[in-house]
Amino acid sequence: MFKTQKDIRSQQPAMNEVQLIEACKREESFAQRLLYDQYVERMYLLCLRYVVHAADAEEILSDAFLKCFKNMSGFTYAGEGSTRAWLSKIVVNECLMFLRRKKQLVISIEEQNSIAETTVDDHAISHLNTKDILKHIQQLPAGYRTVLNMYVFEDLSHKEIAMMLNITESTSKSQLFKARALLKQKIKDG
Amino acid sequence: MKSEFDKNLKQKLENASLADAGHSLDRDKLWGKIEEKKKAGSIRLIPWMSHAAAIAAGLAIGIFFFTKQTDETTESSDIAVQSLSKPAITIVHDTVYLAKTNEEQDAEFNKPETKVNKSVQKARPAILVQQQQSQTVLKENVLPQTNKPEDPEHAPEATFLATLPKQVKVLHLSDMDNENTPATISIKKKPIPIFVLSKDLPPESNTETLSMLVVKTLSNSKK
Repeated sequence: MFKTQKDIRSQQPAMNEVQLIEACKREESFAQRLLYDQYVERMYLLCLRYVVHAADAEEILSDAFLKCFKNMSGFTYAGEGSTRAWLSKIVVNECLMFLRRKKQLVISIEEQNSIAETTVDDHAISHLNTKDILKHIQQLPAGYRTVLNMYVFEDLSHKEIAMMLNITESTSKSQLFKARALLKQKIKDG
Repeated sequence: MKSEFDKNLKQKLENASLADAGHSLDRDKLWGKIEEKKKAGSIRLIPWMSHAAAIAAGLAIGIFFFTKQTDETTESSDIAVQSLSKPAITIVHDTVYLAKTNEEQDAEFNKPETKVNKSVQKARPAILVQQQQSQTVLKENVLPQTNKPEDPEHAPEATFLATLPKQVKVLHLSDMDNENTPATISIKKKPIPIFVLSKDLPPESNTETLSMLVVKTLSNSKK
């Protein structure tokens, strides 16, 4: 008898992404909710790769979407995937700001206890489930984890990572090497 | 250059669902938080604007009162200068002069029976006390030092322009020897008519011979 907002949303005619973006630029609440529903899970998973606790990830996500709606007027749709890429950049920046605020983003150039090179098959990771992989990534130190995420998942170069984290390129490479080694060790250890 | 390990890692997590990662999310609850933050962001502007408006109003009022005070101080300083230039009561000479207009003075001195050497006329008394009627005219005839001084601090003790009754008389100290003699006040000295030919007049610079000339004239007349 009474329709919930979910019912209303499901009955609305499908909007293509261009129309959705244009409606969001007009600050239409309905369009903003649609955009949110479309990308919230993917972005939440992205946050969980950078921060450990779910509550922190939700806080980052709310700030990121707020910033997205505020700056929608400056966004130009450039084809399929452009909205996702633009939104991912905002979420990553929010994650980095959060880590800096909490002073968790400590990039140490000192050699940690020398990590022995582990001989792990590169394809071994494919046998693991997503939950375990995410758990292993979350167990890495914040500096290793951040560089690994930025290089592997965000496809950033060491130069770009160095600029964003205010470190040198060699430090970025070193951090990535150590992150890979540690992750492989954890996978091996199970 | 990415290794196989990196590629496999990315492939595993990039397209995974939240359920696969072992996590869940309350979408509606999170959307509610976003809506609250949106409203809070718009309201935050208003107190900022009100603070800015209060500061602007305070500045405007302060500038208004500051300019008003500067106007008042300039007016008070003008008044102070004027009051300083107002003459005070003082006796300039040892003779108290009573009011007579310049015209009356000229009429008196220019009478034929009292015609004297111009040099004698130098001793014309100055008028300090002014009649009520010609107060403004007499102001000009006051001794030069009563002119408005440029520097009020160094202004000489100016004379006071008082109002006196019309009929006043000139008193000399010699007449005031006996203060209790009211008659001295009413006595008016009549000038002695003395006719002196201009050719007999000594040069202006030689004033000492004038008395001698008078004596000589008198003595000749007696003869």
